[in-house]
Amino acid sequence: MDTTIEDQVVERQIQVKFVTKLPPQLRVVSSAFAIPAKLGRYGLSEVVNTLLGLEKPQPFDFLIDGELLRTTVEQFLLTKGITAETTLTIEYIPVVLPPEPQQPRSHDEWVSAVSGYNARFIATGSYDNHGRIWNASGECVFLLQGHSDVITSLAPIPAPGSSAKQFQLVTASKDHTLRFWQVALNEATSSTVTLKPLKRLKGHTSSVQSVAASPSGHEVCSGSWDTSIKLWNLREETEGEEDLAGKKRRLETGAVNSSEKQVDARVTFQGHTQVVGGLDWSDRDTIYSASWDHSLRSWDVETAVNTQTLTSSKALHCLSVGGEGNALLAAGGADHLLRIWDPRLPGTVAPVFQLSSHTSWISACKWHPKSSFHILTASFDGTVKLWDTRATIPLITLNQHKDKVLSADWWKNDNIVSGGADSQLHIYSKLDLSF
Amino acid sequence: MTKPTKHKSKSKQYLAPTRRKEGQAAKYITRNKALNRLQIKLPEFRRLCILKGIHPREPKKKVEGHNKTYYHVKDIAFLAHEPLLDRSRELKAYEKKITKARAKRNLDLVQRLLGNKPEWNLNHLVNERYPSFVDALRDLDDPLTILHLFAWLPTDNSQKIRPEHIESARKLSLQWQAYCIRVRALRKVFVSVKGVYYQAEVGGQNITWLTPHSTSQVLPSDVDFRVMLTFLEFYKTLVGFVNFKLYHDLGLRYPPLLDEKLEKAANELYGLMKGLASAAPVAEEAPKAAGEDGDAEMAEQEEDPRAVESQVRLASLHSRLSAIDKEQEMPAAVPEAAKEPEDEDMDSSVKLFKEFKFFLGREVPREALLFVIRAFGGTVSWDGEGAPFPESDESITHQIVDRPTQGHKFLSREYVQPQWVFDCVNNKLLLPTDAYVVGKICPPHLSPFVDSEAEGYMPEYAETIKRMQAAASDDLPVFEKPESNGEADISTADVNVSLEKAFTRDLSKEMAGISYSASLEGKVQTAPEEQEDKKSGEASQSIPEADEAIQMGRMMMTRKARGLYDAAKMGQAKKAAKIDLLKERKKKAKAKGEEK
Repeated sequence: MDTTIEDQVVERQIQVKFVTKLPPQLRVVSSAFAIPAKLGRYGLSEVVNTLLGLEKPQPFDFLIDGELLRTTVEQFLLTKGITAETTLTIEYIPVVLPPEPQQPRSHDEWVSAVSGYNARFIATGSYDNHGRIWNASGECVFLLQGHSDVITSLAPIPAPGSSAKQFQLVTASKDHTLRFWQVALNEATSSTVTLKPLKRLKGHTSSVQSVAASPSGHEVCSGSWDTSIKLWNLREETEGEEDLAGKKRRLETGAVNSSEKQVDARVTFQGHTQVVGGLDWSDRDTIYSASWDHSLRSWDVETAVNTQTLTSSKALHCLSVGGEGNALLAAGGADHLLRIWDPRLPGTVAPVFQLSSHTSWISACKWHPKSSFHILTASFDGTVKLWDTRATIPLITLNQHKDKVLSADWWKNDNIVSGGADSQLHIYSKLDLSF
Repeated sequence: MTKPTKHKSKSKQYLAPTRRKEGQAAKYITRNKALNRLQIKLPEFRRLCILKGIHPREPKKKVEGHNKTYYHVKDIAFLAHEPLLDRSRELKAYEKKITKARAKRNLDLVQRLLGNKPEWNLNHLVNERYPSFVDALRDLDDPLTILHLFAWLPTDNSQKIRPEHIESARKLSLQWQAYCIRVRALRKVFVSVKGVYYQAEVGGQNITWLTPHSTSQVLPSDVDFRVMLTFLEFYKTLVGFVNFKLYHDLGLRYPPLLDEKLEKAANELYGLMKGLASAAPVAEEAPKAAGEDGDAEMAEQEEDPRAVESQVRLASLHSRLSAIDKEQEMPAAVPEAAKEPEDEDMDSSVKLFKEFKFFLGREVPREALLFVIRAFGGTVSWDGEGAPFPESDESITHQIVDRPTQGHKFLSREYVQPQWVFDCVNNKLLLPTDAYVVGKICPPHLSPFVDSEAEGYMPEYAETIKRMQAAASDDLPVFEKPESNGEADISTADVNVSLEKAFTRDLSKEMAGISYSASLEGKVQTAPEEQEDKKSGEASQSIPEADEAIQMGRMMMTRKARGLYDAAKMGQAKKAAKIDLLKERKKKAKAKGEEK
C-alpha cells in the first residue's frame, strides 16, 4: 500500500504530525513524517489506517487549524497561506457516517412541526389539526386533539424534575391560539389515547407561526402573523386568577371547552414588521426572534425591550441558538443560505458563517444540543442536511423525503427526526457525532 | 324643421360655463391656481416642488396667457396628497401656539410644547422618488456635489446657512469618501478651475461629483440660498440612506464609530475587519482571508504605537477645530483596515500606490490628495498635527510639494508636483516623475472625462501616455500578483457543489472498504474533463455596416427625421473642422519652434 502512495509522489511533500483526542488504541505515533501534498481527506484516512493497522479500516476526518480538510492538503495550505516548510499538525476525528433511515411514520396530512426533546417520545404537529406523540417503536400513543386549524409549530416545556413522569408541550396553530398539553407518560399504552388540551393561550389576532418555551419551563413565547411576540405564563401559582378570569369569560361567551383554562398574554413585544418565523428562548433573559421582515432581533425578557437587531437580505423562517458558548445565532430563510451570526462580536453585523448547499428555502435549523459544531437544516428542496461549522460543505445530506421538508430536530442526541409535506415523519438513527 | 335646430343652438348658447373636461385647459393649471388649490404660499410651494421633484410644464396651448407658469393638474393632485403639507400646517400651528403661550407668559405650556414638536422628515420621499437602490445611485451626482459644496461653505446668518447644515454635509460627504476609499471605488479625478471632479464606480454606476477647491468661499449674491438649502435638506436624507445601505452591505456599522476618539475607532475597526475576514468563508475565499488576516494583524501592530502617539497629540490639541480633526481621523482609520480582505481580487490599477509612502507639503491641497492617494492604496502623511509619520521618515517614497525651493532634500525620495498624482490615477499608470519635478512646468493636465479617440483629436501628451500604457502592459505587470485567485463569489457555489459531491462519493467508497490507493487505480481521470467543461471559447462576431444601407435609410426617412439627421451630420462636420484647425495650429507651432 505504501508503494502505491510512493508512486503517486509528484514533487511536493510535506511534513505532518497526526494528533488526536481519540482513545489510545486509535492513536498513531506522534513523530513527524512526510506525505505527498496532493492527498485529500480520503488519502490521509488511508495513511492513518495503515499506521493504525486496524483489521477493519475506519474513515477519518482531518482538522487543520480548526478547519475540516475538504480539498487536498496542498490546496488547503495555498488558500490559507500556510507555509509548507514547517511540520503541519493534523488532528483526526472519526468521520460522521450517514445514519440509518428507519421506517417512516405516516400522517394524514403534512407534518409541520417535530420535536425530539423527550428521550422516549417524538412529538409532531400536523396539518390535520392534531398533534401526535410517537413512541420509540413507532406507534402513535397519544393524539392531541383540540386545535381547530393547522398546527404550525410546537415547543416542549422543559421540566427538569418531572420529565420522567410527564411531558408538557405547547402547540401553536393557525386558529390564532396556542394550547398547552400535559401527557402523563405512564399512561402510554399500545392503543392511541386521545388527549384534550389543558390550557388555551388566546390573544394573537392572527395565525401563530412559532413558539418557544423558557428554560425554566414557566413561560412560553409565541410569534405570529400579527407581527407581535407574546409571552404567556404557565405557572401554577397564577392559575387561580387566570382560572377565575377564564370562568368569567366562559360564562360570558358560552365556553367552547369546559376542561381547558384560558390564559392571556403577559407581555407583548412589538417591533417586527412581518411574520415572526422563528423564536428561541434558550437563555433565561433573552428571547431571539427571526422574522420575514429580514431581521433577527434579541429581546430582553424583563424589560420587553429590543436590545439588538441584525439584518439579513432575505426573509428568515427559522432560528436556532447554540454552538460555541451557546451564543451563535443560526437562521435560514428565503435565500437558500444558512447564516450564522455571533452577536458578541463588536462593530459588525455581518454573519460569521454562510453555509450554502441547499437549493431552496430553508424551513428549519437546529443546533445539536451538546455539540458546538453540528447543526441541522431542513429545506424545501426535500433534503435535511447536517453541517459542521468547521467545513463549508455539509457533512451529510439526507434525502428520504419526497416533498418539502418542513421541520427537523435532534432526538436522543444521535437521532435525527424530520417531517415534511409528504406527510411522513422520518427517523434516522445511529448517528455518531464526535464532540 | 327650423325650429328644432334653433332650439339646439339656443341651448348651446346658454351652456353654463362649467369646468373643462378635456384638452390643454383641463390638463394644465397656472401656478397661482395651483397655490389656491393647495392653500399654500409661494415659497412653500416652491419648496414642496423641489422636494417632490415636480417641474413646471410647457403646454402646447397656453390657455391662460403666455407669461404664466403652468403645472400639470396631476402633479398638483400629487402634491395635494403629500403628508408634508399637513406636517407643515401642523408646524405652523405649533409655532403659533408657542408664540401665543410666550405672549401670555405661560411658561409651563411653552415648556410642554417645546417637548413635543411635530416631527419633520423626508424619509418617505426618498422611498417614493427612488424605488430601487440603483435609481438612487444613478441620481447621486447632484446630491454629492451639493453636499461637498456645503461642506466648504462658511456659515451665514443672513442666508440662514447654519453650522449644523455645514456639519452634517461635511459628515455625509466624508462618509461617502471613506466608503470610496474602503472599496477602492474611485476611478477618475480632474482638477479644473471650478473645483475637483471625481468619478467613482459604485454598484456598477459611474458617479461623478465636483468638490470646490479648499479655499475660503465667498457667497455669491445672485444665488437664492433658500432653494439651495431645500435641495440640501432632501439630498442629506438621500445620501444618508445611500451611505447606510452601502455601509450595511459591507457589514459595517452606520454611522461609523469613528469620530469620537482615534484610538477607540481604530480598535473598533480592527475588530470589525476581523469580523469581516471571518465572515467571508464561502469555500476558497475563507482560508485566504484568514491568511491575510494574519498579515493585517502584523501591520496593525506596527501601526499601533503611531496611532497611540497621534492620539496623545490629538488630545493635547484640544483647541483645534473638531471638524478638521474629524476629517483627518476618519479617512485615516478607514483605509488602513480596508487593505485587508479585498485587495487580492481587485484590479491592479486600483492599488496603484500600494507600495508607496507619500508626504504632503503644507502648500498642496491636502483634502483632495489624501482622498485620492488613499483611494489607490497609498499611505500618506502631512505636515501638521496628527500626522501618522514625520517628514524625516526614511521610508517615504514621494514627497508632494508645490514650491520651488526646499529646505532639506532627502535623496531617498522623489519630489513631485501634485499633478503627478492625478495624472497617474487617471491613466492607471505610474508616470515617470521627471516631467513633474519641482519647478518645472508640468505637462498638460488632460481631462479623463474626454474620450480623445471619440473626439478625434489626440493631444500629444495623450499619445505619449498611450504608448507608455502599451509598453507597461507588455512588460510584466509590476503591480499584479503572480498567483491568480480567479474564483469569484459566484463560482464558489459551484466549487462547493463539486466538493460536496466528491466528498460524499469518497466517503461512500471508503465505507464500502475501498482504500484510497485502490480507488485511484480504478478511477478514470475526471479532473481534466471537468476543467475542459469550464473552458468555453467565446467567438466574437462583427457585423460590417454597409454604406448602401445608410443611403437607403436616408431615403426612407421622413422629412423631419432627415432634417435632424442632416443637422447631426453638420455638427459632426463642424467638429472635424475644429480638429483640423487644432492640428494645423500644432503644425505651425512646431515649425516655429524648429525655426528658433
